[in-house]
Amino acid sequence: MKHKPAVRVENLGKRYRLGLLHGRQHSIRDNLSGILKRVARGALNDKHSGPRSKTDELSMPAGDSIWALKDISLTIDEGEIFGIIGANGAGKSTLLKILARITKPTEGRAMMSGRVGSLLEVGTGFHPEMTGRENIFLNGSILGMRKREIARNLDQIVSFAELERFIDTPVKRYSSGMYVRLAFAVAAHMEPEILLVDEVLAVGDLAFQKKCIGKMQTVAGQGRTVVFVSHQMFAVRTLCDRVAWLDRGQIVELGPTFEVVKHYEENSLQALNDSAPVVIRSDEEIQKRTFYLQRLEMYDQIGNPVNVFSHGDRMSWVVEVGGTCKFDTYSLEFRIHKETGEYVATGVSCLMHDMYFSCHTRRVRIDLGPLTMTNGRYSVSLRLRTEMTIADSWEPAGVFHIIECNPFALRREIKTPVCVIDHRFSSADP
Amino acid sequence: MAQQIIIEPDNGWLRLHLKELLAHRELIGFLARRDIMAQYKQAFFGVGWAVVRPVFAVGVYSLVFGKVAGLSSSGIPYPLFTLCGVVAWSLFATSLDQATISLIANTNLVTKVYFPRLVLPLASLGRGLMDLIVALAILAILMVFYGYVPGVTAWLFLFFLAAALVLAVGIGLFTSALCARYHDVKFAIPFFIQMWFWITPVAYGLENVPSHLRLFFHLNPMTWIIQGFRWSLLGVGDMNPFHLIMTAAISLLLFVGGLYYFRRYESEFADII
Repeated sequence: MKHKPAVRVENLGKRYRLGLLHGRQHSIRDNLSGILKRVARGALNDKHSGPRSKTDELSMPAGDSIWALKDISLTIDEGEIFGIIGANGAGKSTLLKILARITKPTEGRAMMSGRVGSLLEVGTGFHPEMTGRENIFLNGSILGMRKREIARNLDQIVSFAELERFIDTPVKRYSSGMYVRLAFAVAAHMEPEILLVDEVLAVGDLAFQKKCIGKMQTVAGQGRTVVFVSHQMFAVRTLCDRVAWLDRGQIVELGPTFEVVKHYEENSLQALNDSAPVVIRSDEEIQKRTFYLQRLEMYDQIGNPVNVFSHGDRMSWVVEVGGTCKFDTYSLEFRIHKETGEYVATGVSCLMHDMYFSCHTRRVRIDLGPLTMTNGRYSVSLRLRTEMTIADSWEPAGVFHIIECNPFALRREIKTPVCVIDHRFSSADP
Repeated sequence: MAQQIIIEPDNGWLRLHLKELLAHRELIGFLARRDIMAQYKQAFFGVGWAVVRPVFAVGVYSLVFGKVAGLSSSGIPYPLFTLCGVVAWSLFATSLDQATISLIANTNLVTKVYFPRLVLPLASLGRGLMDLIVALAILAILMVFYGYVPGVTAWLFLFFLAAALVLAVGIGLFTSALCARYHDVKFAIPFFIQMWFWITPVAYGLENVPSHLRLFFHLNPMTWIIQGFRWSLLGVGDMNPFHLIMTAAISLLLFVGGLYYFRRYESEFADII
């Protein structure tokens, strides 16, 4: 089956003046003084000196502006749910705003075939003094629906929002939950061929988020296209077929959701300084000691140095000791804590395994797993024991992350426990 | 066949996209209704304000201009004369004021939803028109009271009404776009309107103006619009085709200029507002 592209983006770029990004700069005085300064510097050639336009912008020195998007090219097929992910300021929302025609690109172009509906915020244009019914019409009209269309769907919208009794009450009397339900109900009933959705899942309770996701799946199931911007990886994983990962206005990776999201998550974890798979202790920490822990390495099953694991994975550590030992043997102890504070696991070579290492042994290997912990950041602390005393303790020695724990990644309504034990349900009836 | 949308940088050419604007006419209506309802819903007097304002204005103007300053009113009872001027002036002033703030008052719409931005200044005319209907009803009552029957020229009042709107929108398109960029404009415009009021024969007859200053008054398009209201409804003053054409030409010129400026900067509104 041949896929028809619904959205085609070619070399799209958007440049902002820096002043625009930093608060409200707009008083005539500021701009006048800016112009005067430029005159003084002789930077203003004989062009017009009025408010800056796009053409002025292009002639401006690079220091005054920033590319929020640069060289973006992608194609989204009809019926696809396409995700856009990235850190704050990566350009996700700018891209969506250009596709929604709210703002113009500086260069390149985008082509879309079909009616475009955008849901960048729920309840845009709601007026508190007006009743629910009046706001349905107003909001629907703002979203591009025709009056006839809204009237035809009115009953469905009202029942979807579960607000039958309050539909003629001014929305200022609504609870925030009711408000969001009504707003989403209207948006859910627009019928565009291409739906652009930005972070709307961030508002509202879990039930609302589920409704939102369900609706988007329905939309895509009908052969319509959804472009979805989100920070919430669980939603992206559940919904999207393909994902583009943006960073500083450019596409880092574009491909199947699972791969791109995994790489994105690994990358954002590595951005944290504390989470390298190999940790070497600094000199100051150990200079007071004669026998000490000096290095921790973390590996996955096949021996790659990593500190990001999936639920069910196995991992290995190599702990290296340094200095001189006054005794014949030593033993090691580790503890694992979840960042939320739970003490998750421990292992003590002498007390639990009656195992001692000769002081000539410099590197000790510890194999762990399968890892039953759920998503999160875990810290490792280590202790070095000689005879009955603790020669050194290093905490936290290192950090690792569990990022793939599917049952809890997808079902947010379950309170996440520390670990998942292998289990199965079956009927016990005779 | 699905519609094809192409998004490109501005290429400098201005297109009006009237078809698209027409497709959004329902939105103009809904937004206008929202503004009107929002203004009166929570107020104790409600729509009563639309009655109170012109009535009080006429009372005070009649007192100050008619009694204190002793200005003449072209031979017409002062309240009737002034009300007719106030009707036209209020329409203009309210429309210009509302159009100016139409973009910044709807920042969340401008930055979150796409629609032709012209919808906003156009929808902002709703309030002025709503007040106009009420004021015209009061005028009709006053005309009956003083025994004035509109002549055959009465329908021409629609021409002056349209001129007042076109003029207000024309300036409003310019000021609203400017206001998105420089919020100072929001404070300047009410002051500007107030000054304009004094140099327009709203509450006094044009004949009170010394002849050497007349030319200055004649250049003011609002002078002819107000005179036109009185001429068509009350049958006073003179109105020649030259004045009609002048009024229409100035209003249209300002409208086209305002529209050009608005369209020129329209694509930036979401970025700068």
